[in-house]
Amino acid sequence: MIGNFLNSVAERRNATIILLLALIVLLLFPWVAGEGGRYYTSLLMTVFLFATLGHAWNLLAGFCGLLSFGLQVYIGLSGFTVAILNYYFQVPVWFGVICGAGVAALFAWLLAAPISDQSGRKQMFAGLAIAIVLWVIYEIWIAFVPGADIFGGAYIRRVIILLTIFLGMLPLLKLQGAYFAVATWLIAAAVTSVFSEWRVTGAGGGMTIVSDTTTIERYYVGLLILIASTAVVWKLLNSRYGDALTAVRDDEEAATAIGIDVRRIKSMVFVISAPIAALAAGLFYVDSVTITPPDAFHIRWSAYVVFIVVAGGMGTLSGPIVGAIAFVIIQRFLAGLWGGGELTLGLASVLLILLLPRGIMGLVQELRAKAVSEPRVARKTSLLSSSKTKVAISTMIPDGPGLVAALMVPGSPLPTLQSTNPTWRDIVDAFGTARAALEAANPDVILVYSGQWMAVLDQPWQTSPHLHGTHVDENWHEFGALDYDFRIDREGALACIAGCEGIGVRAKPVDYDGFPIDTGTIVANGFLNQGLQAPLIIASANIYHDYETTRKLGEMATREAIKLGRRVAVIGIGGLSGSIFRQDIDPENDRIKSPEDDALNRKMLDLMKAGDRNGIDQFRETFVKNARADNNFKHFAWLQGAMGSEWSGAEILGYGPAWGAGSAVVQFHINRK
Amino acid sequence: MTFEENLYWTMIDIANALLTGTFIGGYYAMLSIGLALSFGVMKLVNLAHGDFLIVGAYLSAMILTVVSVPPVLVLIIVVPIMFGIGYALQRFLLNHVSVQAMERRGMSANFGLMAPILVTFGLSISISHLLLALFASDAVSIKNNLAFSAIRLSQDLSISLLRFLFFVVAVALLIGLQIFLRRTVTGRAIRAASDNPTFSSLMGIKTDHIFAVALGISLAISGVAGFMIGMTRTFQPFDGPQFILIAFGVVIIGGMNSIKGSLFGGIILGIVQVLAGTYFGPSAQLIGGYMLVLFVLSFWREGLFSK
Repeated sequence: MIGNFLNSVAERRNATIILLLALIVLLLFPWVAGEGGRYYTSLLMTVFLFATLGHAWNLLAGFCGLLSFGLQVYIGLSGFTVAILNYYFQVPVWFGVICGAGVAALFAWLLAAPISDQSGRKQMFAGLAIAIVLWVIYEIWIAFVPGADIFGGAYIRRVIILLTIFLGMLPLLKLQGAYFAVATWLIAAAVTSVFSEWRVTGAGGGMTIVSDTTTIERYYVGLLILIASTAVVWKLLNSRYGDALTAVRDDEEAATAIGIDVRRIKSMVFVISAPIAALAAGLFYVDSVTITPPDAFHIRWSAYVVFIVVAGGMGTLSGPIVGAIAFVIIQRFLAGLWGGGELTLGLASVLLILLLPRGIMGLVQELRAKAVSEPRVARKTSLLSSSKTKVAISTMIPDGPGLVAALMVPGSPLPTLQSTNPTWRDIVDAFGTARAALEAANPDVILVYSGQWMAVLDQPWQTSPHLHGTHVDENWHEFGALDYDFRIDREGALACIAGCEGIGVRAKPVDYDGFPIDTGTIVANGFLNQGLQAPLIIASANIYHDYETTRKLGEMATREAIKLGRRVAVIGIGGLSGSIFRQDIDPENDRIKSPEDDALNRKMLDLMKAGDRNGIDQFRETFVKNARADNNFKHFAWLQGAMGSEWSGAEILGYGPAWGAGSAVVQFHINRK
Repeated sequence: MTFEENLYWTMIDIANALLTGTFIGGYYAMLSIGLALSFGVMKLVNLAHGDFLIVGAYLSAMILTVVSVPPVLVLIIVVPIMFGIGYALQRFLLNHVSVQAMERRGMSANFGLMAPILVTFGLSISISHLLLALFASDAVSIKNNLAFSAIRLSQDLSISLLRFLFFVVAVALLIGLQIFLRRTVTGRAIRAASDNPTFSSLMGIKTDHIFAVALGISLAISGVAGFMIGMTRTFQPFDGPQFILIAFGVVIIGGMNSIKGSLFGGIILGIVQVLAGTYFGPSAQLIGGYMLVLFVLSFWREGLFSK
């Protein structure tokens, strides 16, 4: 636990130092590069700009699953806002850029508004009526005071107002997948045709933005915009919306099922992403001076951001930045080499999704996960300390792939969080013994089933290669937070997902960043796997699965992992009797809640110790019913499935209370056939 | 103008809008059947659809520069080529980025839905730039002597002969496609694979092959539609997006999974565009069409003729 904590602190400190150094280099760059390096200064500004655009699109597609092909609408709106303010009102361009962001945010709000209204059509019709009345009043006003027409023409005025009303009516964020993608594209096309007609914006010929900004000034503005937008995305991911966001990204249906207000999150992110794109666009047009509607509203912009985000890694914070670097390299340098920059970009997008769907950052993560799990192979012998440990590992463990260890451990976080409490001490010590046994067994993978990762839909399996962070248990938060650091055996998990089909269970991979992480797995991993760092395969506990299904699941997972040539350790996480104290107790006086529970627990443990498989099967239902067994004792079903007939008896390493509930650490004796 | 004259011209305008709009609808249906088919069968949103229309147009025009035959005969070559492109594309690329394929590779469901859209978007960019590299950006058209012929219905009312023919072809093709999907073994396999790919593959249907055939048919029809584009107007490498927006408009109005819907969607879009053009000037045609589509999306998300 402590080692893990120190590791993550060190990692974080390293990351901070690298970030600071990068920032210093970027801050000094224009001065070091000087006059001769102006081209590179401007090139870096382009990287900043496109990384910012990437952030905007990544927020929508990467985190909300909103595939937008209409980002160019904000680019055009923002660019023309700067141009109009600059040309007609001589507003300084940087102030214009900020106004552009405001206009884009307003526009996004107009599009997102119909979704946040829960009461539906009635309110929409009320809004529509108000809009039409206001419009009619405005038309009458213009009839008397022609100067009030800020649109410069009756036709274009009516088109703009009508289009605004239509857009206000459209429940854009309720549209799914392809419909959303096409609708965003249509909206951008509709706005383009307005701007191409509009005299104010040069009637299709475009406008020029006159300013006296220098390359260095634009460079720093670009850097500032990128840092600000990265901070916004980072903040969003680390806020209480962060988990909700990733959940929405991965499975909207499931996110809705667990009570996330998907619509609100989507509309919030939708509105936030608009000004981010607009800031970058404003800078782009200040830099490129001329702006025309066909260019500013071109679908090409979407092609750029798609490449940037997909190349960098969709749904990651650093993805857009990495992608923007790749983009500028391909666009500027390859285009220079053979003039086919955009063709390369298009083909590269296709190949990336085909070969590297997680992007560059995904590749980096996988390589790092591998690098961490590999050194473990070298450590074959283990150092054992306590005498109790020696007893525990005296069973023979054969070489080669197969089942090498099976443990039942409690998932309660109490022993972890307060390991000095005397009534929990026995479990803490037992964990230590179990850990040594596990290390001696030298597994390649640990199959984990935790009753605390409750699934409702299907059978999710964790497939995110590396999970680390801090978790707070829903029930025991006052005892403190839990740090965790898991490596996942992705290949194994995917094999299990494929294997689920054979036993009639619908399975799916989950690859959320920091969600769902259950306390049981953290506790078990923290006690058993520290320093060992064997990768895990984590199976969820579907609440509708019966005992038999869970048994089959354990059998299948073990089989699949062995098929991959792994030495497999199986852990079932869960307790014995399930009744806990409903009132506050002094931990030092913790005991099994009732003598009946205690007796039932002891009987079950005795049966395990004796390896009486028939006896367990006969007693199980009584036990589940009368002791209100934790998670219907399905964690033992998992173990039973995994072990089949390859076990004879068990060692009860520890037994004790956890706030009244029964918990035990049990090591099963494996006899491989 | 007297009241009678006024009334007469109003009636002529409306009759013209209905007639021209309807016949343009046939052309629009041709532009969008392929899109509706690939969405209906593979749930594939082919963002490169517009570019394949343009590929069809270029193919037709290029063949005609080499051989001088009546234009319509190029279809004998264009249709099989387009079918081949479609078949290969689905078989060797799109089958590997489908929702199911992505889930097998452990990507999230959301990414699975996005992957085919992103890939076809990448294809769209690539195709248009490839066309640019091959044919430069000059406007091309298919020369023919039908383009300006019209059928006169009365002194002030006439319709374009070409549009009329397109309408007939579109209706014939739609009927043919329906019969093909209902009556033939391949057609039934396509429908089965689209209803439930897993079960139909258990029943011995080679879904990979069947999907490839479906995209082949989709592109073959797009080849014919591309030929029609070339017959009526000039085109350039970057015209794809313009046509895909029309096709999407039609499919949204008609219902994404309804092939029949493309004809009705096309007709409605055609009539609204002509009416907007008549009363508010030519530029209103485009924006009127967009507004119609946005309106339909607001109230009938599944389209007007969806199954």
